Formats: sequence, structure tokens, C-alpha cells
Amino acid sequence: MKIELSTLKKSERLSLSLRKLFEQYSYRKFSMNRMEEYSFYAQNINFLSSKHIITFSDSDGRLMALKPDITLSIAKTASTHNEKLTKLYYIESVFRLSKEAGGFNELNQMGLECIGEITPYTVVEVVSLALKSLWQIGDEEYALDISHQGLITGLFEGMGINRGDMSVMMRFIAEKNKHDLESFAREKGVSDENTDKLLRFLSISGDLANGILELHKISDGNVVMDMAIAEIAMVANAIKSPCLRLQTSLVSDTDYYNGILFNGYVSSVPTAVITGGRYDNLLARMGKADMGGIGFAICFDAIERYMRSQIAATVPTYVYYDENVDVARVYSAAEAVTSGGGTACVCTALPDDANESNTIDLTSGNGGRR
Amino acid sequence: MLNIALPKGRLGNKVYALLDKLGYSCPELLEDNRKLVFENAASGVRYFLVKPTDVATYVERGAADVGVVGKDILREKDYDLYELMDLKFGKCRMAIAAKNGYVEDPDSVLRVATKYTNTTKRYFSSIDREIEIIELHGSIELAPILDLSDVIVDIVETGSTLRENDLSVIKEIENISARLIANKSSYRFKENEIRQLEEKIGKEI
Repeated sequence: MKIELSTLKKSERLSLSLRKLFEQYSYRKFSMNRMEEYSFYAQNINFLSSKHIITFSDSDGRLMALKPDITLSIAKTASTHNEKLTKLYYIESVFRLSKEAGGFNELNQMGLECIGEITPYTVVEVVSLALKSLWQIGDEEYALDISHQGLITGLFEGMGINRGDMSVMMRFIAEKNKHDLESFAREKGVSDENTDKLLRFLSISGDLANGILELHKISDGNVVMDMAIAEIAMVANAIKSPCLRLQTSLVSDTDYYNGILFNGYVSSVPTAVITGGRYDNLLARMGKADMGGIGFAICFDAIERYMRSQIAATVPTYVYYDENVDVARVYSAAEAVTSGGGTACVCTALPDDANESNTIDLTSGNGGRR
Repeated sequence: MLNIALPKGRLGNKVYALLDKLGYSCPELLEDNRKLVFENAASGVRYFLVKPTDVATYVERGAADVGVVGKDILREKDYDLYELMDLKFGKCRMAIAAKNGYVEDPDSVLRVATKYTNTTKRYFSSIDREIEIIELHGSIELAPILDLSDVIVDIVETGSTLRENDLSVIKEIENISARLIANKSSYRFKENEIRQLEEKIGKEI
């Protein structure tokens, strides 16, 4: 079967090329039900980017939800059977409250997940596939920001900051908001030396080599931070791409994420198009402490919204007929157009752009092109 | 080219004066005309003049790379952007005000008139106070005078409007000032230009 790629939307072409990419690395396609019991999401509500979920009662009275997230469902059903590592990819819809739509939206996502024994190579492979996926989007510029949850947890724990204050400070770090972070730290009695460390930490972004040097200075022997820095350096050393950048403002919920984190950007889209990371803590919360997990999702809707492809405009050939024309003759004329690769538009009233060159007039008295 | 969203009005004029001084000039912006987009290729800037409440939306959605907006507006919505600097001007306070002599009845639901509904909900929820919000879009001070509300939540700069209407501040909620914000994607691809802008402003204020 020959497929005319120019008629496909950007996200459709992208999903075809990413399928090939993921399958080259032995990921298997995984399909799932669009519904899940609501109680499952209620237990893991902080994992979700939005707390709003579409719910409904099933015929047996159970409160069900349309899936707002795919990773949670994959993590729930994950079992490695005979394999040490399960490698999956999916193309699914999720249902979320959208600021843009002002209500719930069905969003198309593609993503991949590795669950089981996560080795350093697995981490490198997943990060490199995120980078390759960004390249496949085909924008002028792209960048994959990388960080590690251990950086922030090590930093805060080393300073003895409690969980409540930590979550406020994490928000300021995610906003690159130095001024409010500084005021808050002083208000909470954080020492000048530690406040300075927090502000230096927040400012790290861009070049990986320089960023890693600066992180070592801030860590100053902090074991958790040093392990995180070593893992970032391991990924950077294996992938060696100028498009892989350090970004300490990349933070996530510590209840779920524990290792490498990454977000991908392309220059035409104002928001992250790829979000991913390591989520062993999520699996542990589901009673699967012996398993690790890492993966990412690609938001097709953002790509489609900001990078609309120019679908080649098709100029149809109008097959114009009236009640006096035999249907077999109309059918035969339409088939002649489509079998030659053209587009047939069979009509009983001619549109404004119809002319002699694009119309086959079958009405009485006319036997061919108008 | 750095795309900058400026709020129309007094705050925008003040920000432009600062940026002009730092080399981000666009003399056309000072002319008396109705244009909304101003560009100066030599300075590498393009300015958009937009309604103050829309600046964050232009930046969040990437129509502008950076912008200047009041903290009151940022606190109202959950914008996905970077808040890079406190510009330390456009200073005012988000406050609760009531008619002079007002005594709160802690046993009844407090009626609060405001255009800052989310900020108001967040504050009263933090002190566990039940309220009824009356959403208004202007002349908020009128609400307690006409007994439409018990109190108002609004930004207060000098307090003269309150005084002239026999109202006064009963509680300050937070300090407000102008903030430099940036789009997250622009920060990746125009990081040097944005950091340079930050540094220059930092030295000036």
C-alpha cells in the first residue's frame, strides 16, 4: 500500500517515524483501556499534572474515570514476568482540563516506559531516545534539559530544611525566582551561606560541563548530590550532544520521582513537548519496590498547535451531474479521476471555483470536460 | 530579536524608560500613535504594548519572549513561566479594606468584593475563614459603601482612594511589585539575550 505522506498531519507523520525509532530499540507497542477506577487516581492524585478528572458511574456502580495519565496505568499493571526489563511504547489519548480549551480536552500522547531492572545503560538509552524524538519533530532548534531529583533532595536535606518549606522553595526554584527564594530562605532562618548556595543552584542552566563543575562546588561532599551529579555526568558522557543541557530549575514531586529528570523543547513551541524521568518511588508506592521505572511522554497536541504542517492543498476535479445522468456513468467518471491519482468531487451544483479545466460536466448535452 | 511584552500605561512607560537607558531603544514607541507593535532591528528588540492583565498570557504562550507584569496578576493564575526578577518598582500592597469603624462578625460568612478571586480564596482558606466572593471588575471601593460586601480585597498604592471613600486597610496580605518574566522555551533558545537583559537591569535597579 502506498501512503501519500504529504496528506498526513505533523503528529501523524511523527508518530509513524517514532514508532520505527522505538521499535529499533526493542520497545513493544502497548494498548490499553481508556477507563480506570477513580479510586486509583485519588490515591495518586499528586502524580497528576491536573487534579481534575472526568468521572462517571459504571453499570455496576463503580466510580470510573477517563484516563488523565498513562504512566500510572502502566506502572500499576507492570510485571516483568520472565524479563528483567519491560520496554513499552504507546500512542494514547488522555483526558485533562485544558487552560487553552477552557474545559476538558482529549490530548494525544505518545511515550515510552521501561519498567524493571533499570541499569545505567537503560537511563542513557531513554534519554537518548528523548533527544532523538526531539530531532524527529523537525524544528529549527531543539534542547533537552536534564536534571536529577537527588540534586534538590540532597541539597535540602543537607541544609536540614523541612518538607513544608522544601515544597515552597522548590516552587521558587522551578520559576527561577531568585528574589522570592531569597526572602523566604531568610524568613525561615536559613544561614547566609546556605541561602547563597540555593541562589547559585537556581542559576545553573545550559552547558553541562560548566554546570557540573558548579554543582560540585555547591555539593561540597554532599553524598546524595554527588551521586546525582555522577549520574548526570554519566549520561552526558555517553550521549555527548550539545543539545543536552543542564537545568536545575527542573524539579518534580519527590514522592514519585527519584532520579534523572528531563524536559524537551523545540523553538516553535512555547511549552515543553517532552516530559520524562525516573519514577521508582511511584512503583514503590504501588508495592513494587523491587522495580525501577523510567520513561517519557511526547505531547502531540502542543506540536500540532504550534507547528501546523502545510498539507498540500488538493484541487479536486468536479464531476457534475443531474437527475438525467445514469449513476453508472457518474461512478465511472469519478473512478477515472481517482485511478489517475486525482481527487474527485461528485456534485449536482457547481462551486464557485469550478471551471473548464477542473470540471467534468455530465449533464444533458455535455459528454466530457466542460 | 528579543520580543518584549510591555503593559500599556504608567508601568509600561516606566519599564520602557529603563530599557531605553539600557540600550533596548525603540524611539517609535514614544511617538503619539495607535500602533501596538514597535521594532528596532538595530537594538534587536520588538515591543508589544498589551493590556497589563494580558502580558503573562503573551509570554506564557510564546508570542513574547519576556515581559513585565505586576505580581498581583501572576498570583491570580497558575502561569507556566519563569519569574526572573523583582524590578522593585510599581510597588503596592494587596490588602483587605473595610469602611472605617467596621467590626467583623466572626460568626457570619464574610462577604468579600474583589477582582482578585483566586488570591482572595487562597488567603482566606489559609486562615480557615468562610467567605462569599463578590467578583467585581472596577470601583471595588463602592461595594462596602453600598453594603454589597463587608470588606474588599484590592491593591493599595497610596491609600488615597480608600481615604476619599471613608475606607481603610484592615490587613495587608502581601507586597506587590513589577516582575520580569520569561517564556520557558524562549529561555532555552535565547538564553544569552535574556540573561544579558537580566544582568543589565540588575545593575541598574
